[in-house]
Formats: sequence, structure tokens, C-alpha cells
Amino acid sequence: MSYEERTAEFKARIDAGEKIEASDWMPDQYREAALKFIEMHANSEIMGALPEREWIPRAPSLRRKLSLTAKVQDEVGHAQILYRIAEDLGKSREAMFEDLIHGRTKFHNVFHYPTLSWGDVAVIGWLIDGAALVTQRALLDSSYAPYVRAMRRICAEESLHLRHGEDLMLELVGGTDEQRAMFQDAVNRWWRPIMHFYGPPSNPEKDVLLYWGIKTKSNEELRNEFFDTYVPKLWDVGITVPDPALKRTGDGWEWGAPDWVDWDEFWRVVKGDGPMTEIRLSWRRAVWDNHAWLRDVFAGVPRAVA
Amino acid sequence: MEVFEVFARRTHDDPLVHAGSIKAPDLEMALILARETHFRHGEGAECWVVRREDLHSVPNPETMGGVTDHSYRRQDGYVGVGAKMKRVTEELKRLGKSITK
Amino acid sequence: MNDPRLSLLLALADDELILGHRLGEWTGWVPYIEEDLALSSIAQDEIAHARMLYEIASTIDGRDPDALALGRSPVEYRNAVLCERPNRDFAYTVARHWLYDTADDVRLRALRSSSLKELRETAEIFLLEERYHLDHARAWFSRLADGPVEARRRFGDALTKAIGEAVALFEPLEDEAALLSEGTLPRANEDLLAEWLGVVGAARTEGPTGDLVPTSTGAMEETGVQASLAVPGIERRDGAWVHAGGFTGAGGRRGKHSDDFEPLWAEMTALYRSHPGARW
Repeated sequence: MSYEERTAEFKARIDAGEKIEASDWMPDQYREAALKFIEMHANSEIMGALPEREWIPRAPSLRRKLSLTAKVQDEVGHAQILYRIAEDLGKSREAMFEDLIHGRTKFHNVFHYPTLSWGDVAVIGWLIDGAALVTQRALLDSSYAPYVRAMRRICAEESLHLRHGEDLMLELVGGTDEQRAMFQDAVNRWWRPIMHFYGPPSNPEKDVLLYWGIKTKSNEELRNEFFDTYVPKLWDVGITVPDPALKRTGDGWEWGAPDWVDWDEFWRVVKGDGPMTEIRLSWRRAVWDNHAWLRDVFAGVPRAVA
Repeated sequence: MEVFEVFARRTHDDPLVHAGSIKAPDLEMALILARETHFRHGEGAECWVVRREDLHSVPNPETMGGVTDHSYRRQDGYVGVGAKMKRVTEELKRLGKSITK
Repeated sequence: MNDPRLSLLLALADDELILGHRLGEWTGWVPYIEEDLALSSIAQDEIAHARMLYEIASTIDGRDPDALALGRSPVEYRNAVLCERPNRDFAYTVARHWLYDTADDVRLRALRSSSLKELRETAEIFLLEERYHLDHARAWFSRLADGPVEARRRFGDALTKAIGEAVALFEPLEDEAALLSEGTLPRANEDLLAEWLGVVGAARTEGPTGDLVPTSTGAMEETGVQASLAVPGIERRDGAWVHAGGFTGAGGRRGKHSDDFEPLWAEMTALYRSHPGARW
């Protein structure tokens, strides 16, 4: 069978709903698309730990100190799972990490922003984890089986994070005037990055990830699901969103006032020019460079003692 | 660093199930790290690790269980036995051969 | 602080809180992902232990656990200075972790005989989790001490930096005499220190590490690795390590902290203190 024939047969299997394992034959285009997508997801988890971890030292109660540490630990855990899957597709964890910290690969826009208050911790724990969960649930139908198995575990853990995030939010919106204002202020600052999270309107016909079944829903479908779940809840607790155009229309939603939505900011940020991008990456580079000696320990460099 | 596959036994009645993998410099470190990577939420009663290179998969798994008719060794080879039970018992009853006490 | 039991409970709780706080600062940053997860679990254990100890203290003091953990002024904290030091790098972190957890093990085993029932029971529970902490610390100790040249040098330097302050984990408490006579503290700190020095010394001679614990003459006993490691107050006498004289890095048990404490305290308590009475 020629390469083209094998590829066509592979595509037919995917279209029929079959799942692909790490040990299966794959066309190069599939392998590269899956690797790139999963690598970016892993990068996003390890960088996603950083905004919230700034508040672990500052948590306002012992219980929150513990739960926030555990939640951030889970994000690192998700990175561990995803980097392992990506590595098994054919790129070493070290190479992926080096590419990340030197700005050669990307991670989700939302993790390029600072966390200025405990309100931000609640927004991230509830709305951003919620936004990610919508995407991750859709990935449960992915054609790549190891990714599906990873998503089952990640979705289960994210559901717990969501309850944690809701808990934080409820204490703030039901708390003092200052606490309510803290949460509203955070929503005002984070809403646009959350809108950007699903990406700009894309052409499903041209989406390589949809073609290979690695992704199964379009950006707009995912964003609408997010609105369906979270906007009513926000309005129920009397919190507004800063998008002047957001409103329900029949089955769906209208959103993104043209002079508010600012897709230029999205492109700048994912290309590495977000408010915290360089600070966070340079910290990672510093820790990585300072611990080259530790990598020698793992690499089985001959022992100092005979 | 090597890859170690990690297995879980959820409760003491369950079989070992694959939980994921980790990277570690050696077996002792793998045992120490596997538990916090895969079991920190109380997912299992036991945690086992094995070097990936020691895990082998059998070739041609699609022929496992046979390709020609081997239904005689599965449940689906005995469809109809329940109906047969009913038919034979009724026939024997009709012939007066069943015992009533 | 009138009740002598508080000087013990708060010393124990503050050690765990401050050390847990420091270890928690590594979450997300460790240059080895699986180790990041393990260290984060250990940090959470320490904070959880602190919480249990503050709960006991709360029944005596009256303030709730969060108020004790986050609402006191710097001079009221009773942790050892060792705990408040920044993490520096992974070598120092492992060195401090090993020194602290071996010391905590000696301490907890003694506390299983405390006359304070809640403390007795709590010590038993902590020892179950501490077993993992010790396994983890020992595994890293041997991999660094026995590892490539730079790992061994960095780890040796880190142990040197940390050990003087680690000794002060056993600095006598303010109300030690009362605690001993009541049996709340079953054995004097000096006695616990002697036992711990034996553990540290044994790692030197029995473990695979060679001599990474300083001698009073300041030389490394093993050939090939030289460093000046004089630690005041530690002597070898009659084939055993003993403590003679004062403690460097002392003062923590009396609320006297290093320059590293105030910035830590400010960051840890600012949000809590700026919203008195708020729920989170």
C-alpha cells in the first residue's frame, strides 16, 4: 500500500470513530498535529500553575492555603500527564521544556496575565477552569486514545477545581462590600482574556485538528457552551461582565463589541508579548539553568564516590 | 531517566489497572514519586511500578480469542439452551417421565 | 502566653507552618515535574499538621486556628530560624528537609508519651505521614551526596549552611522546666538533640555519603573533598557527636527571628490582616 493509501485508510478509521493508540501507524501529519496540540496543552498547564501559585503564600486562611496548593499541584500533575503523552509521540520532555522557556512554543493566552488580588484567584478557579473544562470535555471524543484517557482524569480533577472556585467566588460575592468589589474588579480585568481563550472565529473547513478528529468542536461552539453555563450564574449573583455587546439571542449569544474585543491583544499575547510572559519565562529559565547539575544526577553521570 | 509504568489496585478486591507513567532515575525514586503523581487523591489501595522496557505486548492481538468459529468456548455458543431446557422438560412431563413428590 | 503548653504547641505548629510555607513556594517551579508533585504533597502535610496543632492550641489560647496562624505579630511566632530561611536552590531545600525531618522524627517519637492526650494522639498520626517524608529526604540525600561532583559539592555546602540552624530546633523552650515536670514534654530538648546528633552522625559513617557532616576541626574527614565547615558548639567526644555551648541561629523559640522572617510574615499575613473578620 502506498503512503497515500495508508493515510486514506487511517482517515477513514477516524471518521468511523475508531481510536488511535501510541503504537499504531500514523501519517506524519497526524502525529505532528497531535504532538503540537498536546504539547501546547501541557505547556498551558505548567504555565497555568504560575498565576495562582503567587497567592499560596498569601492565602487568607489555612484551609485556602491547603486547597490552593492542592489545586496548583493538580495543574502541575496535568502537565506531567500531558508531557508524557506528547513525549511518547516523539519529542523529549527536555526539548519541550527548553522550547517553552525560550519562547519557541506557545501556551494559552490566559496564563500570560498577572493575578492582582484574591478576586483573581476566584475568577481563575471558577471561570477559567470552567472555560478549560468546556474545552476538555469536548476532547473526550478525540481520536487519539491516550489523550482521551488523560482527559478523563483531567476532567475529573477539574470538576473538583470548579467546586473549589465556586466556593471561593461565593464567599466573595456573599461577603463584605470590599470582597464583592474585589471579585467584580477581577471579572472586569479577566473577561476579555477569557473571551480570547477560545480563539478568534475560525474556519472549521480549514482546521487541521478538526480534520483529524483530535479536536471535535469549533471555537464558537465551545464559547457558546461557556456562556450557557457561566453567564446566568454571574448574573444570578449580581456580577456584570464588561463586554457591552453580550446578550442572549434565541438559542445562542451575541458578544464581542468591536471596539472592545481587541483581537490584536490576543495575537500579541500568544506570540509571547503578554504582561507577565517574559517575567515568568525568565524565572523558569533561571531555575532551569541553575539546576543543570540536578539533570546530571538523573542522567546517571558517574558517581563522585567509587 | 527512565519511563516507569504505574499500576493501581483501587480496593483490595480489584485487579491491577494501569494508572499512567512517570519518569524517574531509578526504581527506588520511581516508588517514591509514583504515589504523589498518581495516588495523592486516594485513588488506590496499592501502587505498583514497572520499567516500561519490562512491559511487553503480545503480537497480533486481533487474533486473540480465535478467528474461526470458537463460539463453543464462549457464552454466545450456548444461546438457546434455556429454551431447550423448557422444551425438553415440558416434553418429558407430557410423557409422564417427570417425578412429582 | 501564660500557659506553658502553648510555648510547646506554638513552637511545633509554627515550625510546621513556616516550613510548609517555604516548601509550598516550590509548587510549580521544581525543574523535575514528578518531584514538584511530591514536594507539594509534603508541603501540604506540614501545613495540615500545623493546622491540627493550632486546633489544640486554640482550646487553650482561645483564638481560632487561622488567627493563631495568620494573626500574630512577628515576635509571637516560635518557629526555629531554620524554617524561615528561603529555599535558595534544590540542594539547600533537600538539606534542610533532611535535617528537619530527621529532627522532627526524634521529637514526634518522644511526644507519643506526652501527658497531653491530644498531643500524644496527634504525634502518632503525624508519624504515619512523616515516614514518607523521611523516605523522600533520604532518597534525595543519597542521590545528591553520592552523585556527580557538582551535586555533591552543592549538597555539602547546603548541609553546612543549614546544620548550625538545624541544631537550634532543639533550643530549650521558654517554659521547658514546667513542661518537663508536667510531662507535656516527655524529654528535655538537650536529650532529644543528643539523639538527633547520633542520627546525623550515623548518616555520615553508615550511609553511602562519606563525611558530609562537619567536624569541630572544620575539615572533611573523607579524602578528596575539602571544605571549611566549622560548626560552633558541635564536638566529637568519646566517639560521639555532642553539643557543647551555645546555639547559632538560636532565638526562634523566644520570638527572635532572622531578617528573613519579617518579609515572609508580611506576605503570609497581609490579606488576612487587612480584612479582619472576613470569611474566605
